[in-house]
Amino acid sequence: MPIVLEKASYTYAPGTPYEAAALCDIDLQIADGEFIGIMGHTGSGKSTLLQLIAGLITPSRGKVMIDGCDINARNYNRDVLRKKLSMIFQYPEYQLFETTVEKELAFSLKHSGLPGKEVKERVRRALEAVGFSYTRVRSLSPLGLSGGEKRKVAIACALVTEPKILLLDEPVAGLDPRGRKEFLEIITRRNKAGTTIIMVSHDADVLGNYAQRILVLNQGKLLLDGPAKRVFTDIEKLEALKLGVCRPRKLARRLKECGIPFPQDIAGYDEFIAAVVEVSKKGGMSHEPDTGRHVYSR
Amino acid sequence: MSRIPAGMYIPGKSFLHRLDPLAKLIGLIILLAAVIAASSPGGYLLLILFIGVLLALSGLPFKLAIAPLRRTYLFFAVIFLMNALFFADVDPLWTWWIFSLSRTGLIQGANVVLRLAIIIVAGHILISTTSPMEITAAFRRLLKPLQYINIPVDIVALIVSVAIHFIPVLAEEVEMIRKAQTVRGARFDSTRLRDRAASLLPLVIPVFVNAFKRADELALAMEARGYRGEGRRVSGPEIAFQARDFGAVLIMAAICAVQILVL
Amino acid sequence: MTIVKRSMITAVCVALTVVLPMAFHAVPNAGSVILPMHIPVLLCGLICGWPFGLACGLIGPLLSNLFTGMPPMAALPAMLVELAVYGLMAGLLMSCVRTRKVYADLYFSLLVAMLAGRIVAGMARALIFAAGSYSMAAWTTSYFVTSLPGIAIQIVLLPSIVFALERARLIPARYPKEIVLDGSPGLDSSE
Ligand SMILES: Nc1ncnc2c1ncn2[C@@H]1O[C@H](COP(=O)(O)OP(=O)(O)OP(=O)(O)O)[C@@H](O)[C@H]1O
Ligand SMILES: [Mg+2]
Repeated sequence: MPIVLEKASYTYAPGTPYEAAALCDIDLQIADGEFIGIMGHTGSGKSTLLQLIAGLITPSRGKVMIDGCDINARNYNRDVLRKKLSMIFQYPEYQLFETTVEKELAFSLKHSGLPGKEVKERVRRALEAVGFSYTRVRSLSPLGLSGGEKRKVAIACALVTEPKILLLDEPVAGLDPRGRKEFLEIITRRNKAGTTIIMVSHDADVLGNYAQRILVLNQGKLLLDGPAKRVFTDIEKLEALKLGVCRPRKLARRLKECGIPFPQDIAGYDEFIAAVVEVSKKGGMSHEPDTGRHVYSR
Repeated sequence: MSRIPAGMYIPGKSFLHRLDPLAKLIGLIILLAAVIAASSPGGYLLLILFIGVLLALSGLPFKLAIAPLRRTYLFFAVIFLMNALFFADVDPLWTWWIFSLSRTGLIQGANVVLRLAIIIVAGHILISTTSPMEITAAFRRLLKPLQYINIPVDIVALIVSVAIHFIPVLAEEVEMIRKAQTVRGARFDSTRLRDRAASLLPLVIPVFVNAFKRADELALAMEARGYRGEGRRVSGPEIAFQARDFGAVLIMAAICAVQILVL
Repeated sequence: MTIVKRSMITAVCVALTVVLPMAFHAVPNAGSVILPMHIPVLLCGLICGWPFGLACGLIGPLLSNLFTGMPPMAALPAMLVELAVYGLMAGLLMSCVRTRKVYADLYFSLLVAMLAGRIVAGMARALIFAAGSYSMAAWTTSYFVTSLPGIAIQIVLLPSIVFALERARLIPARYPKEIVLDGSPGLDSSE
């Protein structure tokens, strides 16, 4: 298994009055090419989990293994990890510092040992992946760009190493709907090309529509773990925890409440539409037309 | 998650904890004067006794109170040797190359070390029994009269309180940027100096850019609300000195007077 | 820049004199080689002028000692003198030296401020710790040699920060260029 956590725990500031147990005995296995969404309340340990996987913090107990190697072992070469894993933080534009966009991206490749020509090629590809024209932006100052443009440059910085694993910590926060959609499309394209994506988000709709598998964290424990459809099937449990539920799943429940035999393992809009087509083919949508008003009255 | 570091402060309910922070601050300043005035063994003895009394009143464990001395013994050793070995005296006890050990040098070294040690312990008692916030507030009250000689105490007070507000915010941000750049390949924990120096720019530039952005936003917000940074006198809760605060300051003053006049 | 803006910049610089050493705390010897506390003070002087630089140099180490215990009380007085002189001199020099070349202004002001701070602090130490007449030369040489890497690092670092801030349009340019108006095209690859 490419990413394996064995009983991993993490405590902040151990032995001080501020001691905080952020993660407790997490067992987790993630295969290559998965698209994973992580949800949970604030303070449930989502960011801590990503940082453990990224090797930014060392587990207080347990192990984090990537491609069969314990990344916290003494003899493990961290450069290997840096080459295969990238992470986008909540406000990635805060990390920009170089004088030109091209140098900014090349910084991420500084220790890659790639020849100059290959570096240039990768920078071009990464900039084009986020929708920039290489020749136009390469010599601009990243600090002088607008907020949205800075965000794109920062995303390109994470993509430029062409990582096998991409961790995202609330990457869509503060983006407008269009920027959000563009970003998620970029990520989906990466995932289709084989990159493992692990994305933390507060937005259940985003997770339901894009993630294949969803982890729910609660007070530092892994509460639910499974395909998006299945996690959202248990809608009562999620609501009892005051967690958001994606809209297609809520719609499916309302349809069922109206007496329509509608499937309940729905996470994304595509699945919802497919189910509607399916049900209406069977003629299920047309019976009991008068209860339709309940759909809107809630 | 925004926590302000508490420094050396150890919460408690002792007499010293309850004393007005301003009284403690003034007391420390008087004590400083007494220490500088001290020159005879009797004078030092008086001061050390007094520090002992303060310690007892503070309720701090003895070990904790002298912790700063144990951590800086090397520093004391260097100062002592500097004075003992370099003091140019007429009849040195022992000379070699540029070094000359002399009686006056030894006495001078002992003097300096004793003074420093007393000041350090006294200062340590103050910051262990007073929270950083209380101390800054006391400083503000102490400096208040300076506004009559055209020093803009209000602006200084504003700077200090905004700075305190920013400490936890910026600490968190620095940590976040450090992590982000680590993922991108910066080598902060490398043992090679070159790597570390090279990883300075990716850390420090974003930190300053973001801090200045926050400063800019705050300044705009304040100006939008009509603040111009002048003409406002320092105001704040007037905490009246109580009898015990006056008493404490008087006792300090008495000790200082004895030191200067008698010993 | 208005007084309010200068005050706020000074406030964040003071906060950074507390925060930056905390960040470098984990790295062994960073304090004596990288001198993280000097950076915000010098910068504050360069950008906000001498009164604010001076204030930053005085308030910064005091707050840092209060909140984190670094620098230790024993080193505080000399540190206060040193940093106050840095902030003061950086500000004074920036307002006096105008060569029409930003680099030249910055390097000159920085170098002189750093030298002045070290000389004054060295003298203060000599006066405080040894009222006698031991060989001053021995003291000052050691004072300079150990901090040479720090000086070199700051000469590179500080101008880079100033230019980054100018590029981010957070501080006004020292010598504004004539504004060139042209219909600059968008950045997107899609035409
Ligand atoms: N630097 C820190 N020092 C001390 N405690 C911390 C620190 N960072 C996080 N914690 C604590 O650890 C717990 C988990 O934090 P974490 O940042 O992983 O939560 P999160 O799920 O990412 O929350 P959010 O949705 O708000 O980002 C919280 O209780 C938090 O208070
Ligand atoms: Mg988080």
